[in-house]
Amino acid sequence: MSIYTFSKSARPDLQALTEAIAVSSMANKNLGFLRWDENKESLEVHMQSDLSPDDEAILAGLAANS
Amino acid sequence: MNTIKAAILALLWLAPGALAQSITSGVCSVCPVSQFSGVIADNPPIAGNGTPGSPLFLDPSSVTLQGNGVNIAQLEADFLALEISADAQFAQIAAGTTTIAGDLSAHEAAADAQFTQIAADTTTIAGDLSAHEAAADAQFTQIAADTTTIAGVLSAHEATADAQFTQIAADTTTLNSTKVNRAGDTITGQLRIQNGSEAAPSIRSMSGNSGMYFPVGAAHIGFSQNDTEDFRISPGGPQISNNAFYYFSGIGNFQYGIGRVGNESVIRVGSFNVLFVGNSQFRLTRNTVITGDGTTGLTVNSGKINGDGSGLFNVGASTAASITISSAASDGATLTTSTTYVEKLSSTHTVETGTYLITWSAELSNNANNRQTCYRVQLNDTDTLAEACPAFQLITSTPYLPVSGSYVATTAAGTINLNMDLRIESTGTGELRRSRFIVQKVVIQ
Repeated sequence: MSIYTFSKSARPDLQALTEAIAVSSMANKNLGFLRWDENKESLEVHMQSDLSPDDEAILAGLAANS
Repeated sequence: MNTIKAAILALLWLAPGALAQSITSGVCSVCPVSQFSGVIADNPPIAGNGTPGSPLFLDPSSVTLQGNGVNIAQLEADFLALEISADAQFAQIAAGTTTIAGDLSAHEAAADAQFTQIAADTTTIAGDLSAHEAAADAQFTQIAADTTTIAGVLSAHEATADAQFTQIAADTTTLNSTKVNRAGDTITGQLRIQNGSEAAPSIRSMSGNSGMYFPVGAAHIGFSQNDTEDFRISPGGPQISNNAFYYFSGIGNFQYGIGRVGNESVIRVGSFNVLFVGNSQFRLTRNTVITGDGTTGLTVNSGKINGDGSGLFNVGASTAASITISSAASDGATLTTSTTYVEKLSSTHTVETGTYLITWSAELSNNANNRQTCYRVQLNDTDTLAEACPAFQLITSTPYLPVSGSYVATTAAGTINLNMDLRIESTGTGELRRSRFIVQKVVIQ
C-alpha cells in the first residue's frame, strides 16, 4: 500500500474523489481507500501500488479540487 | 768423499754372502762381496762409535782383504765427476753472489736516496714546528693578556655585586620589620584585600573555593561555598541565595530553616516544606497531608484545586487511595472510505499500579443512506474494549450518533495505550469526531 498525503483544510467529498479517480486518465486506478483528518488538515490517498510521476500529478490535481 | 769411505767401511763390516749397497747409480764401484775373498776372525772387526772422540776403528787382525774387489779406477772417476760437479756448483754460487752483491748495491743506493729525502723532510718539519711554536707563543701571550683583562672586569663586577647584596640585605631587613609574616603576625592597620567573586572568594579555605567576598559596587558581604553564593549581608538585611537554606538548628529530619528553591521561598521543617510562589500563592510539598481541625475542615476560598500540569490529579489521603485522571481528545472529524480500520485517536497514559476506569465517547456518521460505519476501542492494540457498526438513515444531511462506553482495567505501573478506530462496512464515507478518552484511577471498595 502506498500513501500519498496532501494538505487539505476543507472537508473533502471522499465519494466524489473516489469516483473522480475511477474516471480519470490515471494509468493506475487501484485505490485502496481515502482518509481525511480534520485536526491534521491532511488527506491521505492509500493506493494499492506506487504511482508513476504522471499519475501522481493527476492525483494531486484531483485532491486539490475534491 | 767421507761418504764413500764410510760406505766402504760398511761393506767391509758386512757378513760374508750379503750384498753391499751401491753408493752411486750406474757403474759398480763397490762390487758384491762374493768377488772378495777375505777372512773375518773371531775378534770384532770394527771398534768405536763413529762420533768425535770415538772414531770407527778397523781391526787389521780381524779383516784381511784379498783379491781386487775394489774398483779403484771407477772410484777415481766418481771422485772426479763429483769434483767437477762441485766446481760447477761453486762457480754458480760465485755468480749468484756477484748478482746478490749488485742487487745489494742498488738497494743501498736507493736507501741512501730515501735517507737523504727523509733528512730533507725532517728539516722542513722542524721549520714548520718552529713556526707553529712561534704562533702558539703569540696566542698564549694574547690569552694571558685577555685573562688579565677579564680578571679586572670580574673584580669590578664583584665590587658592584657586593654593593647590591649589601643593599638587598638592608632592604630585606626593612621588609622584615614592616610586612606581614605568613606564619602569623599582628597588623596595626587595616587589611584591605580584593573584592573577589562568588567563584573566587577573597578569603577562602585552603581546600576548597568556599569563603567570603565583597560584591563590587555595593555594601555587601557575600559568603559562597563551592563557587556559589549561599548567603549575603546587605544593607537591607541578610539574604539567602536561590537553592540555599538557612537552618536555625537541628540535623536531618529535625532541621528547620528558611531558604529558596528556584523562584520559591521555602519554610522547611524536617522534610515538610511550605513554598511561597510570588506574592499570592503557596504550595505544600508532595506527600504532605493537610489536616483540618476536625470541625471546619479545609476550605479553599473562591478558587479551585489545580493539577500540576502533568495530566495527573491526585486526591486522597494516600497514593493508594487517590483518584488519578488522565484524558485525551481529538475533536476534529476523521473521514474514510476504508473498509478496514483506520486510526482516529491514539493516546498513551502513564499509570501507577492499580485499577483504572476507562471511559470514552465519540460521534459517528456515514454520508450514504442506510450504510454502516464501524468504530472500535482497543487497549494496547490487543484488547478490543468495544466495537459497533450502526447504520445511518439520512434524516438530516449530517446525522451523528453519539457512542460511549467504559471499561475497568487493572494494570501494573507503566503506560497504557488507547486507540479509537473507524471504518465503513461497504459503501459511503464513514466519519468519527469528538473522540475522548478519560482514564481515572479508582479504588474499588
